[in-house]
Amino acid sequence: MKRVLAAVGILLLIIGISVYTLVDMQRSIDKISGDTAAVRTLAEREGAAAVRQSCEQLMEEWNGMEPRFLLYVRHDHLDNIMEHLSELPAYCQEDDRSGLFSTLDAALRMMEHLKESITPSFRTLL
Amino acid sequence: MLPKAVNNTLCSEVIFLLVTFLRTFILYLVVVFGMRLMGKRQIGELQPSELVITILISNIATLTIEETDSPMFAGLLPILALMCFEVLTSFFCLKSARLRRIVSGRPMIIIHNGKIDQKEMRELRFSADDLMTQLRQNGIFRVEEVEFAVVETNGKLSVYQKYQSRTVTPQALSLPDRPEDNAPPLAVVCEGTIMNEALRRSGRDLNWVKKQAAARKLPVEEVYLMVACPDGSCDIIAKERDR
Repeated sequence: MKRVLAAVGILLLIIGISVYTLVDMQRSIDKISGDTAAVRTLAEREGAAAVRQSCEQLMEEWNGMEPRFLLYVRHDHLDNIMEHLSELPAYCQEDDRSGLFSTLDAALRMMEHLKESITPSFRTLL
Repeated sequence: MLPKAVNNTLCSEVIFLLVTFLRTFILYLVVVFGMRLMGKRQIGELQPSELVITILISNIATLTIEETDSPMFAGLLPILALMCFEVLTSFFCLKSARLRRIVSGRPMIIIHNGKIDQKEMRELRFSADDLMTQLRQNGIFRVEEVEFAVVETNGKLSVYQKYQSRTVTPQALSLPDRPEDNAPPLAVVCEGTIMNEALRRSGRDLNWVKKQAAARKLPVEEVYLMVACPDGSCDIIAKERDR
């Protein structure tokens, strides 16, 4: 009976942790996706050079979230996103709008893909 | 002094090996804990669901150890979940015969009164070779000696021999009963350590152990194995000295 109770306790803990991480990650990804989209909109309006500070803040925000994400997500997925975000300041410095937009779009797409991959759905289950 | 690039590569290789070692150690602890959680059933004869769990856990653990890009939780979570499912499944199977039949199947009689039930054998995909192998493992070389043979849910064959083929027992020879011989010999000292539970069951005490060891001029710590027999005697093996 002790083993059964231990098994039930562990299962409840697993479900609790899974739900918490799902909610936490979705919230975090939504926030950073929103900020990334906002940087893109700002860059369209004011040019690549004007958003350099926003890009650096975006990177800092991602660096703050990454240690938590490392526990739940494959590291190479996170590295890919980090790689794209780290290129942004260079595009801003060179005032390269096309490079900036394509990198922001790629980062946004990866964040969306990350969110889709952690959310239970027909796609992830099947 | 090595070039910087080579030095960096060596460092990263060492770190990779260290990471793999640590992941292996953590997973080893988790799997051992899980095996203890699942209990002795898992370590003994495996039912189909238990076999599935064992294979799944070993594969998941291997993948988690090898893929350092994958987070540890991605491996620990399914391993712990599988172990818990197994404990709960075995608990519910204990309560419900129907569920037990669904999960583990039912034992099937393939020999009755010396005659093989070939229809059941075909259903089980049990060949004549398999049958003879299992019979030989039970010390039987002729099907005619068998009254009943049952294929259990774990795939093992249980055999009940005909009266004339069975090993002779004291009862068959009408010998008087000897209840004092019912108790088995018990190992009361193993590698210098006293097995308190076995000692209690044998009806002996620590003084008896020391007396027996002293009769062989041995301190208890130097005893490799001491077996207390029901007739009052004991077998002692001393530790060998390191060569």
